[in-house]
Amino acid sequence: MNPLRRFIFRLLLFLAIPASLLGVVFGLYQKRFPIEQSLYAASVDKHRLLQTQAAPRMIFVGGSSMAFGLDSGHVAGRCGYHPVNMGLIMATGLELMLQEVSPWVRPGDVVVLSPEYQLLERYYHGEPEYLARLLECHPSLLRALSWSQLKELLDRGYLHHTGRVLRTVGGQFEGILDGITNAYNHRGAFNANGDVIAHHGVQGHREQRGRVEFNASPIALAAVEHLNRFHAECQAKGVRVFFSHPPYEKAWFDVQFAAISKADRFLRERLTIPFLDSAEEMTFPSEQMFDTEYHLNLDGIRRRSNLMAERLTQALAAPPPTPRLSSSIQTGDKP
Amino acid sequence: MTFTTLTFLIFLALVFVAYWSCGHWKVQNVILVVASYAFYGWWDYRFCGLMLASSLFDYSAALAVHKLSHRPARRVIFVLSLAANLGLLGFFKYHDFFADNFRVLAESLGWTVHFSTLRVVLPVGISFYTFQSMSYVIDVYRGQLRPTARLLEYLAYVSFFPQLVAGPIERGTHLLPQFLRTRTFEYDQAADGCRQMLWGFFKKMVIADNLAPLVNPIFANAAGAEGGALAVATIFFAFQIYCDFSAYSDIAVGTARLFGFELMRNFALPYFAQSPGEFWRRWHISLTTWFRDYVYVPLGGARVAPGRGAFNILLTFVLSGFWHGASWTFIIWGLLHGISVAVERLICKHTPRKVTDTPGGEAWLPSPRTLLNMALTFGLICVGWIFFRASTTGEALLILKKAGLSLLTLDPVPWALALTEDSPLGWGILVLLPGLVVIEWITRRRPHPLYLPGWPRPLRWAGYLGLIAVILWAGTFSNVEFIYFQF
Repeated sequence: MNPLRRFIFRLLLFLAIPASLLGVVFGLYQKRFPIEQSLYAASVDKHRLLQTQAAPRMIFVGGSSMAFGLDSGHVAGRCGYHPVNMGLIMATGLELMLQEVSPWVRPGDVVVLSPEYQLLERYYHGEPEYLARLLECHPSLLRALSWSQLKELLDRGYLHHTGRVLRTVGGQFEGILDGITNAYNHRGAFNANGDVIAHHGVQGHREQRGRVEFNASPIALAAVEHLNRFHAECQAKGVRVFFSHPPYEKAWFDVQFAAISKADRFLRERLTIPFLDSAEEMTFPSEQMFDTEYHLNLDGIRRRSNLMAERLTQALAAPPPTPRLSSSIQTGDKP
Repeated sequence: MTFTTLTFLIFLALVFVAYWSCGHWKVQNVILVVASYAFYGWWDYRFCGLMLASSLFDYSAALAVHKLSHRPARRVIFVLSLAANLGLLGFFKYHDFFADNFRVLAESLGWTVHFSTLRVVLPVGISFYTFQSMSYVIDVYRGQLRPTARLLEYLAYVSFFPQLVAGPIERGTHLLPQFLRTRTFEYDQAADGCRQMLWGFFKKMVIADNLAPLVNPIFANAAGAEGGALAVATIFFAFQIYCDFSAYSDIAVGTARLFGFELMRNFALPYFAQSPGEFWRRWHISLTTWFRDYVYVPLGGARVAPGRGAFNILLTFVLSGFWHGASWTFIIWGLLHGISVAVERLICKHTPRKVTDTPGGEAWLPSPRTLLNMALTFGLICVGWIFFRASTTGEALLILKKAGLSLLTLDPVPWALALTEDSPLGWGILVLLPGLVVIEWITRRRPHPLYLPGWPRPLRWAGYLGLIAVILWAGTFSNVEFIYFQF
């Protein structure tokens, strides 16, 4: 055998060993956290609903605060629409949230965007390891990924995912990334509208709160441009879009006030999408929170849903405003 | 494209297959050039144009310098080439530094100036390929190298992807001839290249990248950090930068060997050095020798009066510091090393240890004197790292003061334990660091620790599998670039 062939043969023989071991590890992982029961597999159900729900639809877009913090049936019903709650998890990124919905909006639909504050910057592109897990459960979402997301996924996402699977099987449990962590973080926790209902009436175990950091970076500008582009595309299709602030724990809101105000000002100065509420209005006492600063319990859900329904009813009663140009165009030489 | 990504492994496999499927070295060179530009363009395709322009200019300049018999004309072309290379670096790397300092100076003299900074994006690896390209023209000008008329081979020499963005900074005399001959696949060379890459991946992803989250927050808040924490963070940074940069060199050398190329050794166990001079013969060897050959020796080197020799050393180290970054902290870092090497040269009369000498001597265990020398040298190097890592000179002095005082009270010991509690590896990192030192000591006569001739294959393979498992288990896959990419 010539040296090159010998090298390739031995290399493949050697690589077959870790590949087989990893196969066993992934098998064990799948047995413990079956893909079809994962939280991320709920994305398949949400897409099915998005494609089959009767018109006119009210589509709710956001992260887990949308999943854990809204009675979408109540809100949409009061406004005369059929609900589709696309909220899943913040770490998959605002970019994907908009791109996965964009092709499916139809004339007469209403879209309510309620991205968590971190989605405007840190999580705009999403975390590659979460995207890897999401794609494992819902492969057809690959088409909705941008070039930069694909690049990150290939660069680091799958390696990270493999390492995490190895650690989880080895006993170092990593929680939400696995997708089935408790009674309310799995596919079966959602109702037919896409809302998480399994946590209703459950006492949430408080997790460590996350910090909001906002630097008005180029990523934040890209996020706002994307939101405005999404708005323009929707308007062109005869779809109305509204922005609602995410629900947030009042006590923690006061601690994070400077960063949240900065993010809010940034949005108000640049966003073409009409606002339904203010950041302060969407703060909740700790008694109405579930396990994180973004997740509401049933009391909180009722309050938020009523407020949102009320504001949407008023907003929808008014005629749609004339399309406003995005700030990037306004600052140009001519419109 | 970064080495520690799945993209790179797929890219490497594809290029390897394409490269060895072609029998002729000229076709192989085409594949290498295309692959290298794709590798570089993965960051930003616009950088490729800059590298191509720089390569074309130096290629033409070297040919012109060689062909012209008129001495002043040769000199003009040579100076133009140097100016173009330094101008490129000056614009992308140093423009804002000079603009900021000029403004501060003018304002201190009471003048009002409107000298805007550009905040230009620094193209990855520009310092490395510019120096490699410059050395080629200098060697041709000096008559030490005959320029190649083959443009493709020259482009391959400048852009060769394994060492493109962080070295080793190769010389035309060493690397270029390797592009101009038939390369045959050698099993041992390729297999050992894979082992060296694996060792590099381990150092980078398991050690360096797990130290980064411990070091960064402390240096980011130096004013509020305790002295003990700063002392521990400095020692951790010493290991982080070594494992990061030497890992890059290991992966680069290993990758090149897969294609039948031999790159120069860039690190030779620098922390086993017993003096600052020896450290610099073992750390970033390709840059140190570059400055030695193209700055220090032309200045007169050591063949001048002791005072002038010391000045030559200082100037060389200051320039070397400035090469690392447009900041006063790097200049002071260079100056500190320059002073320590110059003092060593003036007071030590013994023959300096060479890079080819076994570090720490031939004995199985180091003598107490050797250990003391190593510890003192390491301490001195750590003082330098404080300036290297700090954002400003004031911050570096503050860290130096706080960390130095804490050493008197043995405060860093509990801090080391406390800090590692936040690490994904926990106290494991405190086991890994001494483990690394022991492994490198035991294997210090070998080119790298995974070079294990004579070991039975099942044992070797078990070791490699263990390392792969540790990399996947404990490796960090978040966006941690190699530290030297910023230079």
